[in-house]
Amino acid sequence: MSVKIKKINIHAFRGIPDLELELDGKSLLLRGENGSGKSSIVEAIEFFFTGKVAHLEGVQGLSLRRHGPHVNFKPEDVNISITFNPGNIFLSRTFASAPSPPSPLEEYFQITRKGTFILRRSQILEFIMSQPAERFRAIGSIIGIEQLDNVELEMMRLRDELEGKVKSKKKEVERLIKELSDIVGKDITTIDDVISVLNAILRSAGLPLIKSLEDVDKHAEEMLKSVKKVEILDKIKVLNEILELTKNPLITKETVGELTSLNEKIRYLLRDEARVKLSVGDLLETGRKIIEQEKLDVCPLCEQKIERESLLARINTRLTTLRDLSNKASEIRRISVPVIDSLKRVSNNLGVLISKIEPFPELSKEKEILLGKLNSLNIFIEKVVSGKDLQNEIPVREIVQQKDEINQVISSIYKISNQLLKDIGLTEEEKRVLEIVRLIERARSKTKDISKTNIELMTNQKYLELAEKIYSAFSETKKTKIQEVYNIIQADIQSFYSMLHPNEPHRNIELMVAPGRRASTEMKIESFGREGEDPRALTSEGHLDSLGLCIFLAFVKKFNEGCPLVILDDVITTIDANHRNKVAELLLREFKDYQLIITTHDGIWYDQLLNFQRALNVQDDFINMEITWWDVNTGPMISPYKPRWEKILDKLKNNDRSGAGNECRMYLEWLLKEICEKMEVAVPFMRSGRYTVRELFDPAEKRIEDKLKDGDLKKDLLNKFKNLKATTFMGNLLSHDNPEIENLSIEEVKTFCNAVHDLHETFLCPQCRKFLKYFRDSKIVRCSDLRCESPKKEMTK
Amino acid sequence: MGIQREIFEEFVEKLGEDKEFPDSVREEIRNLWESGEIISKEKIFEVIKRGCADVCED
Repeated sequence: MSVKIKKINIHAFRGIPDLELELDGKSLLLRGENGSGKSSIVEAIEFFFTGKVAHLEGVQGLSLRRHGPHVNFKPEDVNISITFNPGNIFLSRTFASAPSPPSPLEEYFQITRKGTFILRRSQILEFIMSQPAERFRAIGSIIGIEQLDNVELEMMRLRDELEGKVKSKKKEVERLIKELSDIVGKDITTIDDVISVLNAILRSAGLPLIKSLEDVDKHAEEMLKSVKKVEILDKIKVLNEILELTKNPLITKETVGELTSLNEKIRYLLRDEARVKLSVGDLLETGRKIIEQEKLDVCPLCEQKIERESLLARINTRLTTLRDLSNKASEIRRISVPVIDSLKRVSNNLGVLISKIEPFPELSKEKEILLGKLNSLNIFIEKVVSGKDLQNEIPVREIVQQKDEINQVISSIYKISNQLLKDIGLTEEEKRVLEIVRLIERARSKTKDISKTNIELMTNQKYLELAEKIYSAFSETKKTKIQEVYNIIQADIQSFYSMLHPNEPHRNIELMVAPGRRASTEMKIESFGREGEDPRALTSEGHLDSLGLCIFLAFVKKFNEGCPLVILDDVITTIDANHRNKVAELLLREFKDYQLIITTHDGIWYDQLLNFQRALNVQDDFINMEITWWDVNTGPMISPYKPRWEKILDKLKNNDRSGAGNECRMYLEWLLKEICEKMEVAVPFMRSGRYTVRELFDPAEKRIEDKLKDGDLKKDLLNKFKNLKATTFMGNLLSHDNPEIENLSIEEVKTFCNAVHDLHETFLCPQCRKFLKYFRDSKIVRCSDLRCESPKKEMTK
Repeated sequence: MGIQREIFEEFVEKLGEDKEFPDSVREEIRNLWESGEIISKEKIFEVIKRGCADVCED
């Protein structure tokens, strides 16, 4: 036996101070005007299962804790309890505690926790009108792959970062090889060339050759034995190292150039326009949600009237542009890796240089300056790192100034160190030996750097290779599996859609994982014989809504197995009456084993669902309720559904002339509209779509008189029209569209009500209680249910 | 079996088909998923680094 909700208790939540809804495992059909608390009930159920309310998520200025509790209560008063069957299991949710389902409810809660059992009108649009990435997210949340999506994103980020690292290391190796070539005065392609080039230099100087770079220290020591001033060799060595470090400017033009180019990209994203765009992005997302959810036809900001769908389409286009900005931000993160590495290298070299010049009092002034510069450079590097994250621009001017000042000090240190070396008073021969020793030591040091960087490069390449394999395998598997799911789902979507739109030229609905995109779903449909059309090309909003509904239902059927709960919160507003009938049939036939909670403000849709309950003999599976009143202190007053006629009888019984008269006037308006629609009555076109009794009554009566062949039905119907017209109430309505109930007696109102009811009854098939309908091709008026075995009927002229 | 698990299992299987892909990395990724921890890029990188170190030692 599947899990069903037995009872819902809501306390202090949204527009509800206190409410108990006894469902006893049945489906709920709930009608109520806008603002009567229907959505509060849905939100309470959503909060119970998910701990969230989608309306209050991610919208600036809105918070569940602040806007969740009823205005007369505090957050700690909020309590939503649901009792489940079988087992009469009672569970509660408050702000401080979540329900802990026992094991028989675990599977049910696994699905309800995701909130994917609720469909609102705004979500329908997510399936159809949204960009492929958003559509993927909407579908992904139903099929439950959001977690995998995040994993994939992390895998991709790691791969991108390692790619940046490998590029940076390759560039570093190239730079070091160039510097080595400059040292030895010959182009070096690999470090294997170094020994032969160095030996050529040693040979030409008449000095002993080296066998490997590991021999350099020993060899240098041997060579230095020929230098007389052995006691100051250490000093000479350090001075040589200082000369090596200061030979070239530490901060190069290239580094400044790279920083400038990086900063241009950052500046583009940080300039007022882009900043505005990024904040507009948030605003657009919020505005879009509000316009979609609240079905607004007025701009929430300027209160001007808007064309909703065209505004939503424009917002979506602008959001696409904003997503390009996000790709640019990702590029910045990637290219900043080598620039930051290069600056860190300069910082490291400065630190080494400061420690080398420490023992020389002649360089104390330079050392002090460099200490300050090193500090400024490190602060600058932090600014580049935060610039990479778009927190600020890179103050490139600072580094231009630093570059000149640092390079000046470096140049000064070089000169002073050179002088100090000269002051030692070496002979020409000693100088020559020292120069060669310095050269081979520099070459050895550079070669070591190259080897070290090469190892780092290879390690990072290995990491990258694995990261790439992980990401590709994951991404490919995910796409394949999701496409498999789509292929299965497509059949259900198509089948549901065909039930709603039989014989219409839209078929072959396809969902496709977009090629070359990480998380994107494209949707295609064959429309009017053209294959692969974007469904948004379909002109009718109602078609799009019903397609979205079919997608939702197909996914729910496949992925919410184990949780037979579906909530439809006012979802069919744009679908016309004929198609709503089919939606009602689809829900009540295909989801008959589910516990449906359907809310609506629409009386016609409510009546259609009631009719289908009767037609499919599932009335006992439903609780039909109406919200008759709401105010902030009492919350929604919910009463069991009563057919309109029963309500009128109650009012007549209580001598409520005004109540009965007004209710019956609405009843008559509805009845005349039904007659006009079913009998194809010609009525003057009204742009507003609002017709009064006066405008419909005569055309409807005339249609029956003109169209039906003479017979019992025609006679009966015309009699009922005549009887109704004869009532005083109707006379008032027909003469000046005002019933003037205050001047009528209860008997006069009663006569009118009975006449309306009689007219309605005559238009119903006694066999199946369906409305009569004119079938133009068959030239017949008959029961609209073609399966009716004994239909009421009459031939037409 | 949920679709997430199905995808993950198949992904790990796919990694296994690559003979050059270190078993230890594959197993650690599986364990990471099964532990229910959030799989961040830092955690994946740690797994890769450990896997590479194992391969080098071998």
